[in-house]
Amino acid sequence: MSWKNQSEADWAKACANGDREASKALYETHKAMLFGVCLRYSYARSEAEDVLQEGFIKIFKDISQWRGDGALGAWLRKVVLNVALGHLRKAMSQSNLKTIEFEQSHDNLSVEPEEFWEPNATGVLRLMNELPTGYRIVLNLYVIEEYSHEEISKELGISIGTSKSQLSRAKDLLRKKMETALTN
Amino acid sequence: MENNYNQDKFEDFLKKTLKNYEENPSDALWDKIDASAAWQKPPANRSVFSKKIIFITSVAAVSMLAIGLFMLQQSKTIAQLQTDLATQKTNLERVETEQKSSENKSESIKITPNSVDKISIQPIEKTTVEQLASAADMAKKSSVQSTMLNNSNFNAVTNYKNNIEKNIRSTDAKPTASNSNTVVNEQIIETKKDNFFNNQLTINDLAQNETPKNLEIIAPEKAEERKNEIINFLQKINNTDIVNTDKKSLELDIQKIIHPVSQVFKRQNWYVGVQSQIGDRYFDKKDSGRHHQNNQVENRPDDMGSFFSYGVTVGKNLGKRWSLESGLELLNFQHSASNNPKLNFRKPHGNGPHGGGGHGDDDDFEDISYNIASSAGDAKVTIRVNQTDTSILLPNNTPVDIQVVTQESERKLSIPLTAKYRFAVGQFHFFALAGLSLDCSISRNLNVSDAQSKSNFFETNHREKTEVVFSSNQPFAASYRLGLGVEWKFMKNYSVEFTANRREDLLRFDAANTSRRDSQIMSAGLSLKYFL
Repeated sequence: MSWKNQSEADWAKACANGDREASKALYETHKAMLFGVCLRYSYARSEAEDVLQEGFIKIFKDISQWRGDGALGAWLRKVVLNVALGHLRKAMSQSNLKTIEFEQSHDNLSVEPEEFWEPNATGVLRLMNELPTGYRIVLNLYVIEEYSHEEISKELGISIGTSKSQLSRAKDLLRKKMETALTN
Repeated sequence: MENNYNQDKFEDFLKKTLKNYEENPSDALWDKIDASAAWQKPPANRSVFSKKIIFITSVAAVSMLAIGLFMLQQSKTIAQLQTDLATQKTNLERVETEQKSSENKSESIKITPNSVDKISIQPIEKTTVEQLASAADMAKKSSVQSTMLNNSNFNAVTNYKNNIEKNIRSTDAKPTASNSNTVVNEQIIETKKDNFFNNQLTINDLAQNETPKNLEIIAPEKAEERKNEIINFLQKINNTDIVNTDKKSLELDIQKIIHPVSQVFKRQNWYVGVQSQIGDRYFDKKDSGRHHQNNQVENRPDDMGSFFSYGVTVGKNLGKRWSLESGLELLNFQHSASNNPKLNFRKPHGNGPHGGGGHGDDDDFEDISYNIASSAGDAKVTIRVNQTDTSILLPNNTPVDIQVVTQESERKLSIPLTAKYRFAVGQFHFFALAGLSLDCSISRNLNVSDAQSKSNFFETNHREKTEVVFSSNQPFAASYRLGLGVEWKFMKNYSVEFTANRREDLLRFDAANTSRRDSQIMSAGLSLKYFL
């Protein structure tokens, strides 16, 4: 049975009822897109896979809560994103990191020359992972996920001004890194 | 290069590059997800639901079996009673017939051909000496038990017999059909015979009046038949008397048979009723309240929830003092709690790079304990709802005001078995009760909201914890009940009770990882009973 030919509502319902084949089909269909999300909020590939695993478990657990008022893929993306953010907070807590460096200025960060860098997704992601955590999260949320600064401030518990400044600095630093990489 | 990237274009580049970026994870990832996915174990709610269905079905099956066995037993009793009814009705009709017969007679029994007719014995025109002698013997025997055949009757028959024997001896002749030794006026004899058969003479008359000197024997071969007829008649009289003596009880028996089922219950003192109670649910003090800085727990007398129940009862009085009662009862619990409208830890205690811990201090905080530990400016808030900890990590200076509100509701189906003891027996009396009940959780609902900030931190983190609270797969408990009450009987079959109860769980069959607080229920209510 090809679930891609079924309606998303039926597909989700089958997953909610514990249909293993439907669940696997859902995984196969969306794994690449969702893994891309995980990679943007993780430092390493193994960490991204952990996030994706946790995200799919939560998806299968909560898929009955999807009301069908939007695309299923968008809902899946939202769930995985929340898991990724939670994973990030948990990692910071366990490693006793002081905080996300929202208030910290990174203007003095050095821009190391990159070798064999290409301006594609993989290359951009590699440079983004070199950004401070606060920069990277705000940049991802604002540019990729299209969050507003107000939403970011609520999500992360920071002020709108902090969100704006973090975004501005993140873009400047990333741009410098890209310029340096291209120059080399 | 820098000129090629202004702000908007740089953002567009990033979005275009990364928005739809896809990369496949390793092939082994699915196996990990498959191993821990939800479909490999049934959801907790479904498990609870299935167990509830099994439990309710089991109770229904046992109840149906018990009712079936009871009805089977009663049907046998009813069949027996119906047989008795038919017999008793026959007896009653016979009694009534005989009563009417006896009422139409004088105080002494007139053994006349008409009387014989009533028992379907056709009279013959002549009697033999042997027949009358046998009748006298039988009368003598019957007189012992018969009140209707009194001594005078007995004497009359005896005298009649003696006179006949004397007469026969004087004639000294064997009567035959052809030998008509007519000594007296045949006209007189015929008159007497006519009077006798016309129901104008009694045995007394025959005995005391002139004895016929010549008795024509025309059917000696029928002596045995006539003897049996008279014996039957006398036995009839005898039986009638016995049945008549028990007539009153016989009528009562028939009345009982007419409504056999209700009478069976009535004899066994069954009753049914409806009841409802309302009260408060007090949570165990050792688990209630807040955690202070030194981890002391404050008892909070106002930590309670509301309780409301209603149900049906069926019971049986066991003697004058004791009764046993069971039924079905639906228990409803409501409990809500909230902290102060604002639990503001914008600046936790020890705020700063080397800050220490801090604790919430809120006198109105009910049911939810919380602890704020600060490390280097971050605040880790642990909120305890019904013994389930939920942690929220808030970065330094996070401007969040939290108002945690919990609303808990629970419904249980209870099957009680209660014994009652009446201190007095009367229209108005006090009683004490004690019992056990098996409680099955039908539904539980715990809503925890962060009303103030609507923070995703809290909601995201708490959602899973909430499921842990209700992951119980054996939502049954055994509880005990003690109470005092007063009962007032009114009309003929009704009574109303007012009862004050205390209930508490004895055993809980919750899953080990489910932490529920002990609680007691104080309730009072009314019940209406109808005695079958």
